[in-house]
Amino acid sequence: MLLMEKAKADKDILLQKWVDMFYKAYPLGSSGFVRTSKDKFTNPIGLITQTSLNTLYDAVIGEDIDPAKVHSALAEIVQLRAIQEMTPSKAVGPLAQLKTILKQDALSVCMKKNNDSKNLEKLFDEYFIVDSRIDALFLMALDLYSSDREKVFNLRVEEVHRSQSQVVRWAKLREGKLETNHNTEG
Amino acid sequence: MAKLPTSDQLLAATPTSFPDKGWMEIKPEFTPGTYPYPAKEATMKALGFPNAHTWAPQDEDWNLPENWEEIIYNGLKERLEKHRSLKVFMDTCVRCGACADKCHFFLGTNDPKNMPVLRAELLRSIYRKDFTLAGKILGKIAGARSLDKAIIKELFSYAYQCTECRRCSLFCPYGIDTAEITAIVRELLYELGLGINWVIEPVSNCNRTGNHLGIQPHAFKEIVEFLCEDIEEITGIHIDPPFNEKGHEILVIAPSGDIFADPGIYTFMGYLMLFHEIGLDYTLSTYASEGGNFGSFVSFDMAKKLNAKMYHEAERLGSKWILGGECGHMWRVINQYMATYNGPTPACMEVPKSPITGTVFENASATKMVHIVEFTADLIKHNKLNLRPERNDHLITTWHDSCNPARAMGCFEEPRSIINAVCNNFVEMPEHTIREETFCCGSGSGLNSEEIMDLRMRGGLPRANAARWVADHNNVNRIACMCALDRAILPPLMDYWVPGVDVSGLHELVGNALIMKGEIPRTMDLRQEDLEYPDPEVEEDEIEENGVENASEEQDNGGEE
Repeated sequence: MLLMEKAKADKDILLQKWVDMFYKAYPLGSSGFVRTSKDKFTNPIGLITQTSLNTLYDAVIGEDIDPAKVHSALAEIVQLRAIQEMTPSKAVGPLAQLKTILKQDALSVCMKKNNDSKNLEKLFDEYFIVDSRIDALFLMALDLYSSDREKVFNLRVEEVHRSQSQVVRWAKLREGKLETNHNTEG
Repeated sequence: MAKLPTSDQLLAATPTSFPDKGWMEIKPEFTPGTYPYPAKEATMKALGFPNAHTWAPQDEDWNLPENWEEIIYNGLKERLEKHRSLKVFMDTCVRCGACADKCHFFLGTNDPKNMPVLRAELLRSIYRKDFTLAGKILGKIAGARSLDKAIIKELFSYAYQCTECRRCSLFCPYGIDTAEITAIVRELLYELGLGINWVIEPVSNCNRTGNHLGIQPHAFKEIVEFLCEDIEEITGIHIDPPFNEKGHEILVIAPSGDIFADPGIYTFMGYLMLFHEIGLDYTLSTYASEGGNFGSFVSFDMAKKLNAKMYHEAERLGSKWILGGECGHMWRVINQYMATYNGPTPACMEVPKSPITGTVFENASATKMVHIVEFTADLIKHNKLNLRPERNDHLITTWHDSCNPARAMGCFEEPRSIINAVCNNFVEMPEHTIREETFCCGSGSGLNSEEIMDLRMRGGLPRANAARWVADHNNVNRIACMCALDRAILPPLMDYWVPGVDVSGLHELVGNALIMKGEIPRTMDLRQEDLEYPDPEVEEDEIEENGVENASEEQDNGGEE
C-alpha cells in the first residue's frame, strides 16, 4: 500500500492541487476569493468544490466511504459546473487531472524510493486501481452532466407551463376540451 | 501518429494568466443564454419609448440612434440634477470593496464585474469623464473613460445581472444604493431604445389591460371563480368574491401571478378564504388587477404610471384603503417611492384601520396601503383566527425573506409570527442568509425569463445553498415567501439545487390551517393533496358552533402547551 499511504499522507497538498485545477475555470481576477473565503454560505462555489473533492479524493485512494456519499459528492460538483459558463470538457475534465497529480506527486516519488522490481510492480498495481476509480468517476460524471443539462431545459419548459397554468385551464374550459381530456386520460 | 493535444492543454485555463488589460478594456461577450431577449420594437413604440428599434444583443451593431452619445450625456445630466442621491452615489464610493462579496451574482458567477463596486464603476467612469474636473483632465488616471459603443453593451450586460436586491447596500459604509444605480443605467438604456422583452411585455399588458399577462376582465373573473370552485371542493364553502363593486371599504390588489400561475394560486385561495372567514368588506378589481409594478424595472416614470392605476381605481370605487397581496416590488414602490410619485392619495381614502381588530396602520398613513402579511399578523396577534396548524404537519417549512418587503420594508417579524401560528415545524435558514441579510432569489427585477435559466441558477446559488443546508440538516421540504416573483423563481431554483423542496406563499399555509365556520372536515390541503393528518370527522352541529369565539380559547390553550 505504498502509493495509497503516500497519497493519504500528502492529502492536504494533493487535494489542494486538485481543487486549484477546478478553480482554473473561473476568472483569474476573482479566483482569490473562492480560494480564501471559508464561509459556508458566502462562498458556495468554494464550499461545494472543497467538500465534494475531499470526499472524492478519499474514495479514489481507497478510504472506506459509502458509495451513495461518493455519488452525491460527485453530483454536487457536476451540478455546479454544469450551469457555469464552460464547455463540458472544462466542467468535468479536471476530475481526470487527479491522475496527473497522483502520477507526478505520489507515484514518481514512490518509484524513486522503491525502485526494485517487486515494489515497482506493487506500485503499478496500486496505481492501476486508482486510475480505474478515476475513470469510473469520470463516466459517472458524464451521465450526471448530461442529466443536469436536460434538467435545465426541462426547468425552462416547466416554468412556461407554471406561469400560465390557470389561463390554460380557462382556455381549455372555454373550448370545451377539459371534459374530453379527462375522458381520454381516464 | 496523429498529434493530439494533451488533457492538460485541453483543460488549460482561459485566459492562462491574469489579463494584461485593465477591466475597462475587457469587452463583454454575448452568447445565447447569457442575456435576456430584447423588447419588441412595436411594444416599445406603443408605450411611447423614444428610439424604439429592432436589435439583437449578439449582433455587432445594435443599431443605436445616431446621437446616442448625446442621449446618454443628457440623460445622465438630467438624472444627476433630479436625483441628488445619484450624485452622492457617484461621488462617494472609495472602492473599499465591502460590497464585493455580498452580491449573489458575484458569489454565483465569480465575474469581477458582478462585484457591486465594479458594476457601479461602469457608470461612474462615464460620470467622471463628463461631470468631474479630475476626470476631464486626468482621464483614466482618475478612473474616467470616454463613452464608446462597447460600454453600452457592457452596461446592458451587467444592468441585467443585478436584481436590485440591495444586499450590497446593507454593507456599504456610505450606504450607496447600487440598486438605484442599476435602475438609472436601465433608464438610460431605455432612452436608447434598449429594453428587454420579459419586462416590457408585462408593462404593456399592465398598462393596457391591468395585469401582467394581459388577461381581460371576463377571463380574470372566471379564473378567480375557478379558484373558488377549488376552495369549495376542499372546504365545502362557497365563496363569491365581489368584482369592481363600488362602496366597499377595502380594495384588494394582489400580484396577478397569484391568480394565473402555480404555485401562487394557492396563496390567492388563502386570501379569499381569510377574507370570507373574517367577513371583510372588500372588492377585487379587474382593472387594477396587478399589484406588481413592472414599471419599476424600467424607469421611475413607468413605475409612477402603473402605480397611479391602483389609486385611480381606489378612487373610482370609493375604497378607503388598499390591501395588497404578497408581493415584492409592489412594496418597494409603495414604501419608498409612491408618496413622491403620486401622493397625496385620493381624498376618499383614509388611514388604514383593520375592521376586525381596530388596529390603525400608522405606517401606511401616507400610502393607504397595507401588506396582507401585516394585516394577517395583526389578526393572529389579536386571536381573531381559529387555526389548526396540524394541517401543515406534512411540511417542514423555512422562510425566505423576500428582498423588497424584508430588506426594503423591514417586514421581518410579521411573517414569522404568522408562520409560527400556522405551522408546527418551522426552521430558519442560517444566520447571515436571512432577514436584512437575506439572499435574493436570483432572478428578481425582471430577470426571470426562461432564456437565461443558466444565469439564474448561478445567481440563485447562494439562496439555494442556504436552503440546501436546512433541507439536509432539518429535512425542510417547503420554502415559503411573501413575493409573487419568488413564487415564480424559486421553483426552478429549488428543483435544480434542492429537489424535494416546494415553494409556497404564506397565505397558502394560512389557508390550510384556517378553520372556517361551516366547513367540511378537511382531507386535502389547498393543492388538493391528501393531508397526513386529516381533520377528525365531526357532527354538523358541532361545526356550526365552532366559531370565532372559540378561536381565542384554542389559541390560548395552544400557547400554554
